Amino acid sequence: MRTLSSVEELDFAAAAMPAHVLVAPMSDHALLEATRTGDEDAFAVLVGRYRNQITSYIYRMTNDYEESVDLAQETFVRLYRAAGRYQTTHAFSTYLYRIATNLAISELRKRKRRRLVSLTGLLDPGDGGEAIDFNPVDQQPLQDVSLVDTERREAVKRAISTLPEKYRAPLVLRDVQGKSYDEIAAILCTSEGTVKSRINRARNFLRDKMHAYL
Amino acid sequence: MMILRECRATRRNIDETGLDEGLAPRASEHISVCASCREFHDQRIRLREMVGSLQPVDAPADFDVRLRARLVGERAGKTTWFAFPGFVFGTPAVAMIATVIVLAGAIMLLNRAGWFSRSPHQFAAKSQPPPKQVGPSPAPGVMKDTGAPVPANVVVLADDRRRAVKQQRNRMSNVAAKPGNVTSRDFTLQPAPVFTQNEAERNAAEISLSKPFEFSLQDSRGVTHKISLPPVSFGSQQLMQNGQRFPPASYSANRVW
Repeated sequence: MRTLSSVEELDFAAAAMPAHVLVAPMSDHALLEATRTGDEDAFAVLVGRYRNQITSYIYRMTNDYEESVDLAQETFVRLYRAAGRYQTTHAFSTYLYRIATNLAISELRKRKRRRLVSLTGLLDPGDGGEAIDFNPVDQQPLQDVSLVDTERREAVKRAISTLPEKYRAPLVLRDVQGKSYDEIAAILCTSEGTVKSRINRARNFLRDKMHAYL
Repeated sequence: MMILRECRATRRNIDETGLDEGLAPRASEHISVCASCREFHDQRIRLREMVGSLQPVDAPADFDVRLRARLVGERAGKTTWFAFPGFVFGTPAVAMIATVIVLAGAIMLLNRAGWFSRSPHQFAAKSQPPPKQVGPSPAPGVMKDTGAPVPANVVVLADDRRRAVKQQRNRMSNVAAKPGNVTSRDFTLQPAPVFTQNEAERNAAEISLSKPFEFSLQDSRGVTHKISLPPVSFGSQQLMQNGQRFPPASYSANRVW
């Protein structure tokens, strides 16, 4: 067991550990239990397992990379702080995603408060969603296929970021992160029926905004 | 109707089924015969593929470094310092300060208005309307004929005058009740003893209104105050004695009152 004492000890255990130690990977619960007892290496392994997933998820929610990295770090800081209170009633990833979702939604609400006036107002969903500029589709055929893909991906990103937060989170969790309905329901602390309904509505929103690509 | 219900069930199945999973046999059958549901299915598949085609974003290379630095900083107490300005200039803090200022101002105003020092009798007196007077109200300080037997030495004042006297007494009793001052009894809650002329004659050895009267008082700090009063007289012939005025009431004490 190694205890963190300074910034100089920055090599995380997953990278620094010899190969023979990593033969039997510990479960998330076991790692968090070890973190609770002060094992910094166990926490480092947890971070290594989930940092990309959480960063990616928050990025799809906020559409801002720097912000998503910052919020992902905050997610792990909160996990570290609350390690003593963690209960194994849900999967660890559910717990972690719930923290990340709450942070992302808080950030979206802060942005909404900061936003003064929407200059376009064309794509305001009208039910609390975040309205941002949405470039209309260029109907001219493009020569380069990769450019088409890039443009389509950008359009999808922008369309997702215009969704109301209550529809955005379940859609990203389902269609981007590939979570099951019951897991999403646990993350969002709601019923499975509500999750299905919200995902359906989110897809209808996207269909309306992306109809030129479909 | 039957077809609509079938369409709804099929579309729900399309929505809930994963991309890598197959549709239910009944839904597959329905799609083959219903053009609308087939179009819905194709559209939904394309949409989900587009959303799913978004590349996952990786955390930056220095993610762990920054996280560890953040945890070390937090453990060293730096986070508290950084969080403090955020709290001070945040909306909750401003709201809290404003609430405290408003409360403090309200308490000061109420205190100045004497709200906290009023006795329950005053509240009751305030809430009761003044009694109606049938005839013309007498001038302040004039004896009022109420019809009830009134002792000879008691003067009944008009209502407003009586109220003013009562308030004056309350103020005096409040001052006397403050800590550090001479303690006294609050006669607003119970009547003060009244010495009538007959009682004075009965206790002539102790109190004689026609002779100079001296008495001593001792306050809570042990200081003795001596007060002497001239004889009380209601006749003009007693105002002068041997061609001289009565000396005024004198007072002596071993300490300043």
